[in-house]
Amino acid sequence: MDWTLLGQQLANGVVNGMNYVLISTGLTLVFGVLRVINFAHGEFYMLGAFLTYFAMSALGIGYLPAVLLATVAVGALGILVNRLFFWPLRKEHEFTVLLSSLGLALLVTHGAELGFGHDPKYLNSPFTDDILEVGTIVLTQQRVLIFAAAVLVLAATYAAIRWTTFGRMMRATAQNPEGAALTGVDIRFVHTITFVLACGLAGLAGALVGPVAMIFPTVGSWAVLKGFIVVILGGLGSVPGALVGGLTLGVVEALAGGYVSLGFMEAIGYAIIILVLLWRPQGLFGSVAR
Amino acid sequence: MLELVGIDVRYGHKRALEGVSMRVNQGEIVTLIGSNGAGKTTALKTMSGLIRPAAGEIRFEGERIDRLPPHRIIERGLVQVPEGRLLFPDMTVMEHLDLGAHRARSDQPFSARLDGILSLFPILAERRAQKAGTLSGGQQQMLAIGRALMAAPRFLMLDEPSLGLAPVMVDLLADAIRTMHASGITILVVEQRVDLALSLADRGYVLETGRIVIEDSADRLLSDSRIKSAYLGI
Amino acid sequence: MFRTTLLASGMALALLAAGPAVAQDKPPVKIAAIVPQSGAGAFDGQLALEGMQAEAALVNAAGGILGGRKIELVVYDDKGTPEEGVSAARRAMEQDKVDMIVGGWFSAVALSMKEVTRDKIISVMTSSQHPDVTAKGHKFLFRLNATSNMMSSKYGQEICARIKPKSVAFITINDDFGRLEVDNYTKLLGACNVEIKGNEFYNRNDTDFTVALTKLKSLNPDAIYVSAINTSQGATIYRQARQAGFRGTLIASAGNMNPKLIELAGPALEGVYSISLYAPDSDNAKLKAWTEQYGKTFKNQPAFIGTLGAQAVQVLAAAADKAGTANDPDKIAAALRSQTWPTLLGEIKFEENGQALQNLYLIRVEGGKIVSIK
Ligand SMILES: Nc1ncnc2c1ncn2[C@@H]1O[C@H](COP(=O)(O)OP(=O)(O)OP(=O)(O)O)[C@@H](O)[C@H]1O
Ligand SMILES: [Mg+2]
Repeated sequence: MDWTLLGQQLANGVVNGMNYVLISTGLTLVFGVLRVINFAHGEFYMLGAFLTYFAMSALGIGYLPAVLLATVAVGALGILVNRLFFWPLRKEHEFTVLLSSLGLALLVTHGAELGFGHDPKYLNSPFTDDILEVGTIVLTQQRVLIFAAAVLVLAATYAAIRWTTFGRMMRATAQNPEGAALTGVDIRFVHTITFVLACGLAGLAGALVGPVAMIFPTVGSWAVLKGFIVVILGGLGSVPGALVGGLTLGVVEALAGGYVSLGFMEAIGYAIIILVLLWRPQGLFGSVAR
Repeated sequence: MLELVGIDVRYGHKRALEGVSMRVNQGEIVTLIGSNGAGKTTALKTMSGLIRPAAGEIRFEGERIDRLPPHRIIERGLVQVPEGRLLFPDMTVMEHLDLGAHRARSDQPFSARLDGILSLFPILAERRAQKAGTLSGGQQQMLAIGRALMAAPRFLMLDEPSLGLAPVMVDLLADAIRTMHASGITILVVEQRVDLALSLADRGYVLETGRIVIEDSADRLLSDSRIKSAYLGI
Repeated sequence: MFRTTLLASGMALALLAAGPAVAQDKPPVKIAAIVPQSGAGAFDGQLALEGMQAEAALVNAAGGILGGRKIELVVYDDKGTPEEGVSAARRAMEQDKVDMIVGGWFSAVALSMKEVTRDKIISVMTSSQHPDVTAKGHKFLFRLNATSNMMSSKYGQEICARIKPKSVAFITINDDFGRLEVDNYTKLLGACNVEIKGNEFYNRNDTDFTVALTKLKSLNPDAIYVSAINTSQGATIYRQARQAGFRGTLIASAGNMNPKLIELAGPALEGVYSISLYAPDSDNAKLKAWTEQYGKTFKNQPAFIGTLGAQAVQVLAAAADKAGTANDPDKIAAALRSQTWPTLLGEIKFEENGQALQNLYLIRVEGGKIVSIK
């Protein structure tokens, strides 16, 4: 047994997993609070990466300020998205909303292809090519940054959901929207902020993970697919489920890829979906919106 | 204090309320009686702003509230304890009471209201860290009332508060309603247990398939033969 | 008064639009350009199409073909998938009645598409490298790119003679092309005593290769051979190989070196060898004309895949002229086989089965530029 290799693959898996957690927390929050599966979620990941790219090239600012700017901008876009695509449809059948989000996803992807071009771009972070050796494990600074930023932001998000009044409003809305309204919760405000949070988290993930690979307008469909696998694994609407589901998927993929093949690594996500749906359709964390 | 004038409510094509007019004066306890599906819950939801009436006006202390969102209505002191309690199963008792207070406009500080509620329902103090989903039916009803009281209501609507409660709990509930009334809260109560409702109330309205058919004092309603046969089973 | 002015300016506009060409009423020669415009191959498809468009513009500016007929490119999106490629070819033939087809950028697409066009229409397959495209081709099928076998036998020699790794590991795409690459190089490099340490297949939609590269790095090979047609995936692999701490030699698969790759992969690509039909520093006059036209119209750097698109348009135009027809596939096929054609990539000649014999140059990235090694 090559322990160095195992350690390295586990580290790879945990970093990827943290990215999945960032992506899927927003997806699960939107589902938990609005009962909506947002197919367009991955597009905010894509926009996060591209806005960082353009903030750097057009405004000439550094990578980290650009990440911050892109995250805030994509978060702010959440206000618009909720206002135009989700709030007006809140009383419609789930299926209508689903189609609306699918339409939004196509709109944003094609818009990005027109606006940003088909060609892949390299999001240049100063941390991408610098290697950090921790014992025998090799990680780039960028991957350490992804992990650290994700831990920080997710801890803050979880704390806000658990301990602030807004967090209580959000959980109340998720668990019983009518009860929440009768307790004085401004449902529209909660929906808006939920979208801001979800889009901001996805945007941040895109901004952070962008430099690790190449960015292109269709990268969002990859992100939303990973997000779906995680939320089905962790339980739709469950925030701790997204955490455990995301890390599990990252590590399982790394082990499947590292010890079997990349083909198996890709397949394992789908296998997980099928197994979970067959044996535990509510996901590992069962009940929604906790 | 609260006045409904010619309220119509529709669910799609179905008419749930037709020309409903009623009023509740400050300091009264009023009951709204009616059989299943008569439209009682619909009326209360409309007053709380969950449903927009298709026609008519609702005035609270002289101002129109039928276009306001629920949280704005609550801020004015018109609060509801909904049918089925509508608690948040994974949130603790204290979280419910905290959240209940966030729209309160009151001179009384948070802690004073909290103390008041915990002395009215001491069991809630014992269970303050417990999740609502794990409470018994009676405890849940107390929590639902407690949550509403945290909003510092001047007008409280209760929708079938006795539903599913054991007889001892029903007595406790009746006492609580009297206590709340004594503290100056105006009350509108919807009850299946018409005898209980009429024993508490000053006046009552009878709703049948979306229309008010009788309006009278509680005493006279108790002796009304139509009420006796239709709702009291005598 | 106002109306007359309007009418006059309308007529003037119409005349302007029609241009000075005498043969303005002659129908265009329709060539289907079936390229990936969405999915992972979208950017390569764009480069390919731009190459074709630049060449068509040159031909049309010189008066068109067949006594003044213009070339019109009818564009289809094959999404990089065989199903869409087949459906695009069907639409081109049945609905749009095109005269000739250019497509087959990916082997998987070419292999399926050729069955729909079999013996029906002139089909020029471009960058696909799978031998079966021509080995099991048809009488109207021609393929420009060297087959993977042709490329790999040349490249194998170069690797053994110039790069001289003691051991090598492969990272290849999991499709027909990738599997063939592994087979070929395992034999060729094995023959000159390079130890083969292992291979990792990746998937068509993968975006992160760290796990596979970590595994390959742990095998400690002298060199990693990277087989990637898709520029975005290729760039990610080169970068991530370095990021995973691999410090050995990186070898790029044949025919897959282009400016965009250099831009995206940055320093990770410095000193990397490849072989190509396209040497940007060649002094071929046709190449210069095309490069200039390309630079005038498009903002991308001209790439190999674009030169292949241009070459397709170039030989089809010349052969149609020689055959005196745009839609008699028998005559055009005969013309194509009849002679050596001067093109922007040098002289080419078609074998009986439609396979082009092209020049292959050993190239290398030096200072961020592709240079040919003489
Ligand atoms: N969301 C809804 N959509 C359509 N119809 C509804 C809806 N809610 C209630 N109704 C219908 O409106 C009518 C009035 O219902 P409502 O719940 O107000 O009656 P209720 O008097 O409270 O009855 P109960 O004693 O059963 O609580 C009923 O016929 C009911 O079926
Ligand atoms: Mg009811």
